[in-house]
Amino acid sequence: MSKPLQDIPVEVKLYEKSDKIYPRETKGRFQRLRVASVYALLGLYYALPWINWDGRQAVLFDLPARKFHIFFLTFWPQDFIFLTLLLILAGLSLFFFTAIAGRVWCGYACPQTVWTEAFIWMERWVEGTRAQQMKLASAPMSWEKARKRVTKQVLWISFALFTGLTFVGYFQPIRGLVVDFAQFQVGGWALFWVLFYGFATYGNAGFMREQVCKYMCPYARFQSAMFDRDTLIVAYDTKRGEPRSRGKRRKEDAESELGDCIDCGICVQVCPTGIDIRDGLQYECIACAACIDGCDEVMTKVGLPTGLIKYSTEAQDQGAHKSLLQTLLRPRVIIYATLLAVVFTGFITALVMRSSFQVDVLRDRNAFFRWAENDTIENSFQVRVMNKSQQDQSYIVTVHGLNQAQVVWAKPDLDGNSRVVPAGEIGEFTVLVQLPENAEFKRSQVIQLGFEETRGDKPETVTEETRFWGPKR
Amino acid sequence: MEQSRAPSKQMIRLGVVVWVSFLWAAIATMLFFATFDPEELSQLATFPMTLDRTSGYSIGFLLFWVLLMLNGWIVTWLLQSGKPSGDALPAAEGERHE
Repeated sequence: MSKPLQDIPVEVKLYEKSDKIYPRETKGRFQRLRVASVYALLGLYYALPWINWDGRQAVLFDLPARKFHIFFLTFWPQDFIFLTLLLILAGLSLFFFTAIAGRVWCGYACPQTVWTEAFIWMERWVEGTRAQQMKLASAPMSWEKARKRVTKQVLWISFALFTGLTFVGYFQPIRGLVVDFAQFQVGGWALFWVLFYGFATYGNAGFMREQVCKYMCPYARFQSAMFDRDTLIVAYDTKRGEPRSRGKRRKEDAESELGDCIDCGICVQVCPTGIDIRDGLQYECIACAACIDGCDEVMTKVGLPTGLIKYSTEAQDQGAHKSLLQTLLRPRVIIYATLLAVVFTGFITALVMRSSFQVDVLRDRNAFFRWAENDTIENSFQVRVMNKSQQDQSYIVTVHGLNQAQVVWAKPDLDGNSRVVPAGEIGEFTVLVQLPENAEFKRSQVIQLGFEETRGDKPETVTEETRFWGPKR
Repeated sequence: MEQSRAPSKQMIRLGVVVWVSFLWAAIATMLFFATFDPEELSQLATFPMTLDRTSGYSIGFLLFWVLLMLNGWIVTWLLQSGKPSGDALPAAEGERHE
């Protein structure tokens, strides 16, 4: 049997004319948490580049020098593994927190949410409450309207530019950058990226807002894969709320069994993505809990218990009673937590065991060996010593794996038997391994070159393997 | 018009292609330039070329981005345009006979 035509649900939403969403302002515990989160995260973002450490910017991704400074740590391109591990950690954390607490990331921490919130605040300072904003939007153009619109744009654009400037400030020292910017001295790529990031902020937080979450965000689509019956979601208590009714009808129907929902529509008005949470869990819901705050306020006013919309789980909704521990101790959470712990431990261990310098040894390509003075066989190696520490360091070289062999830095007159490499730099040297002709050797054999630090409390050693070639016997 | 918030299908397509390409371009840039130094790469060019690192990273990123956007645009175009004439249209939900 085919269904009658009018019963077929047709997805027309995308082509429908949808109006700009004016989220109504809310007060309440979750709103306070959100505000705190915005202050903390934006505060961190704008303040971090201004902190100095040891005479330089504490957090500086110095791309031209190919060095990342993060407080007392300096990372090199060779330390790429740490960036990889960090990204894996970030991904696993997202899985872990999503499994436990649902979309807390979306509601409280995502840059899209955080900057949108800041832009909405500015909009409210200038244009007033939701009702005032909607009135202004539908009003004909007037001096008053123009003034408000211009003020808002000036605020938005300045804030966006400052955001872009701060972003570039993570890649080149921000103190100089800001001075240059104020004097219109910034040019080239720095200016390009300031404008680029500023424009992206302006567009995303000022205009696109919830549409980024709805249409463009991959996480919003696949987060449900990490959800299960025990994941925290924002849910409307249908059993308690329905049948909803309002106003006159509510009074008239007073005798019949009415739900607690007074159908005031506040939960829809406060929603930054413009959905009705009473329709059930939807992927547009970013779990910001604005509707919880809104509904709680109304319930308090009309003298009903709060929690008609609340953080809940699917299992709880269906009447299961589980303790917090039971909810947390489920395979999905345990697996994510274990993976997270393993990678985190690996990350910290690798970080602590990271050697303070690195050596590249390259055989001289011109000749396998040459005869040196006193009938010695000499092999020459190009050596790049990378001092990854924060202090100047000097190195000595030793050779192992070949009896009677000696090793020296080329041009020994420079400074004896050691070589100095300034902090954070790469020294290029030539190392000569010499072997008396009468020693025992094969045509080609593996040797180890040891490099030792001579300064500091805990001098480290790095050993590199290479080959020593001699004449045919 | 500020009032109208109706993203057309093509606008959504553009947004998705641009944004997803941006994310991948960022990842590709990190992977690529952690391995290769743009300054040294520019010396391997087949014609005389001077490129400082900052320009190298920026151009590299933009190049990745443009390539990925082109790719995304063509993929989405192929997916949404034209159907081989012989193919039967997949039955819509309501027309399925049980």
